[in-house]
Amino acid sequence: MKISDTSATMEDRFKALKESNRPENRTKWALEWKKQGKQVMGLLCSYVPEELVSAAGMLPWRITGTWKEAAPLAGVYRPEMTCRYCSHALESVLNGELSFLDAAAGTQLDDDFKRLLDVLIAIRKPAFTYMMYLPHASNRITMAMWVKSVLDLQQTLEKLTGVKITEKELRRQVGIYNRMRTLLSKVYELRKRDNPPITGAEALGLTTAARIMPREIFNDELEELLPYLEHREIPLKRSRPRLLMCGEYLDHPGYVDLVEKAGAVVVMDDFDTGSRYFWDLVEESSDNIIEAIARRYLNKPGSSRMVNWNEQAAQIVKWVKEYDCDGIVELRQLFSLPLDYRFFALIKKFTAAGIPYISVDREYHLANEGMLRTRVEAFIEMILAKAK
Amino acid sequence: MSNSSLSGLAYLEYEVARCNRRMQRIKDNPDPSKPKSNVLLYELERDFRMEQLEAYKAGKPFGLGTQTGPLTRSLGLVPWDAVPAADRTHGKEATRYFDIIRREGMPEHTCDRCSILIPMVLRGDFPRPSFLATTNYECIPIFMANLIVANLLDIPSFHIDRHFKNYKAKGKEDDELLKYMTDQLGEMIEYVEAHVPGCKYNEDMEIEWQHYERLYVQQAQKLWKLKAAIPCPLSGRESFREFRPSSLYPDPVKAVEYMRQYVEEVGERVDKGLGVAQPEERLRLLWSVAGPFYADPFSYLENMGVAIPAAEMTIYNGWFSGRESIWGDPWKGRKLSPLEEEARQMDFVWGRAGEAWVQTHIDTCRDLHLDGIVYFIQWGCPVTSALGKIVADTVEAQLSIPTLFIEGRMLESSIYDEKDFNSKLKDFVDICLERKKSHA
Repeated sequence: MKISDTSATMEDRFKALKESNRPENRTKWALEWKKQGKQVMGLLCSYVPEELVSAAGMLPWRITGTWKEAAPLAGVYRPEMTCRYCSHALESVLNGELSFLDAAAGTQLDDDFKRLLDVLIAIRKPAFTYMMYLPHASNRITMAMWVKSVLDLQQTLEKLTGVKITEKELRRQVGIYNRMRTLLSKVYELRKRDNPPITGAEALGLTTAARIMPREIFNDELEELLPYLEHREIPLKRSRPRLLMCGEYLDHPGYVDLVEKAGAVVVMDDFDTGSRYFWDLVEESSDNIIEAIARRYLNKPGSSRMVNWNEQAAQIVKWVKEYDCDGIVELRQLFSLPLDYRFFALIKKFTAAGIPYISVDREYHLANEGMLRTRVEAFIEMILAKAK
Repeated sequence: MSNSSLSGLAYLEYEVARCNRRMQRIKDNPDPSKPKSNVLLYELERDFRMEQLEAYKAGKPFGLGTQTGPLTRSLGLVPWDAVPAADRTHGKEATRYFDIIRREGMPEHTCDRCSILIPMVLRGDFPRPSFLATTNYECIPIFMANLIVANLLDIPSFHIDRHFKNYKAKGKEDDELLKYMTDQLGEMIEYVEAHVPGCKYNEDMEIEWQHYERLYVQQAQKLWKLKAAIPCPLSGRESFREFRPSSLYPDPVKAVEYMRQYVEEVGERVDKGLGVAQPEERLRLLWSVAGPFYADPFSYLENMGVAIPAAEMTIYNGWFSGRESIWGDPWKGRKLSPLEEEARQMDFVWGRAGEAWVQTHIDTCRDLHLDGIVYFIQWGCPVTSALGKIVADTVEAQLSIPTLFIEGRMLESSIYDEKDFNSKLKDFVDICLERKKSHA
């Protein structure tokens, strides 16, 4: 299956790809996969090693919560003041949007996710939900337990699908995923230019598309589009300020778009749905491919739930320099508790590094755009005034 | 605590004075309706705060090894208990801290205790620790609160990560996960000895502290049986008094003696058939998670003939009922090493997958002959609030008893509406009475 017909222009093909995770397109690939008699596993966490899911013959499909404002069905299970992504993801499950899922998996990354998985297990929607153990720190002891956790996932997938995951197939999948990561890295490399050929919202569209499509199809399409993207031009009102955006569970490009419409150029992100999804490769030459997979996932740029906040801040500062950013905008998901705590640690580091930083609460679905735009516009004005 | 007293070690000084005042009041005007053992309890609390004060002034290391105590003390640390300390700031004091939290952009949407401890420590109202273990043994907000304190004050810290599996479950003990935790504790000890001056692990001391912890919990197990008595001899406030391990106090022998005396007194009430619900006990409820500590819904319920024999919080009822292994219990027929024991006792309920939290409600309701559950939806506590419906559905299906969800904050009282709160309780009591009648 191709993304768009071959006679389409490259721009049309790019549009189709980057809009794959819009609600009207989102389930297309999963349903097509199901038509072939294959299974789809919904993923609730970027730490679940997707290579294993693919090696078991399933499509790893990142669960995007409903983008509708109301989540009345989830509200029965989850109070208002809990992680909005988890509530909207549960709403998607309960309202039948995701009835095609054969299974779901996630980690106990934090209490919200743990309890979301508990609820899915209790209500048996989808029919099978798997909770995977993820340590919150990376060291010799926790890594060994994480490797075991990855092996447990392998066994679970084998039991679920009846497919034996061979080392050969796993290595093949690692190759596919590393290719995807490399291609996305190339796209992000283009964003270092003075006039980046894609917007931040488009970049988020691409990374979220990657997580719901058969990865080989995504790779082929992106590879064909890359030469076009290298020469693509987007009209910019001004080339500065260049911003890095932070956030978690941010999958609605509208949030990035509003920052760009406020007058900034978003050239890099620290999103679990963006750069952190594809950053760092699995070491393909490793003798032990499971361990190599485990290392890549546990050591990639971390979630706010991880203990290494200083390293996370250092990684963001490094990106700020590499991408020549003038400041950082964090759109912190409301009631995402770890982000509320980490915010204070980030301020300390960014202030020390002399990087302007603003952190504003947002909903999961696109909301309060006017208020957010005003805050971002004020931040941009401050940066521009400082530059003068 | 008045605003003017808040500087330096104000919290500790205030707590010492409060305990002394309470003891003096009991001495001057003994209230026969209150437990005599309260004097010992206030002495324990005062001695602990004095120990902290003196240690802090003398520059002795303060810290948090794990949440369970014996290891902290055997490392040579005076326990740093900011989370329970924050619990005592309810009412106006909590509102004052929340004003700081909001003004300075500190975490506001998390549970009250894990918000309040941040300004308490950062502003110097509570001592700065010399070491902090961060761990997800229980919940993410406690983990994060300790992590941010360590981060902002550049305090040496060490993370201990636990699996969500119930690895100490009786009959299903998991050696691999016990080793996982034990190995991490071993690394932590090396880290503390290398990074915190004055700290040196003393295994003999740990054995001793664990011994007293066992004796202390064994007394609490006797209390559990007394709680099952009809009418219930304990007030709701007594039921809700959070369990403080004996290792928190500088004198564990006195702690065990306090618990022994208290259990004896409750036993006397049972023997005399004394109950707290007036004019007679009509209903028995379980109060789960937390409550508005600045208000007194318990007296309101007791005056309607409703007893609250137990509160459901984390692992405590598991220990009290004997369903959870306590210090010194065998592990697959063998005795655990002191460090293994510490590792076992880090398997708290909220750190586990949800099934354990659901099951403890069912067990408690069965043990204590309860007719309903008041489930407090504590803001910023997803580990409990996002599982309430599953608890309610399961309890309804298995025991045919109803659950009331009632939302609020445990310490910050500005959103509390007593009339509204009590009217919900009243309606729920009526429902439970109807249900009880239909069961009969």
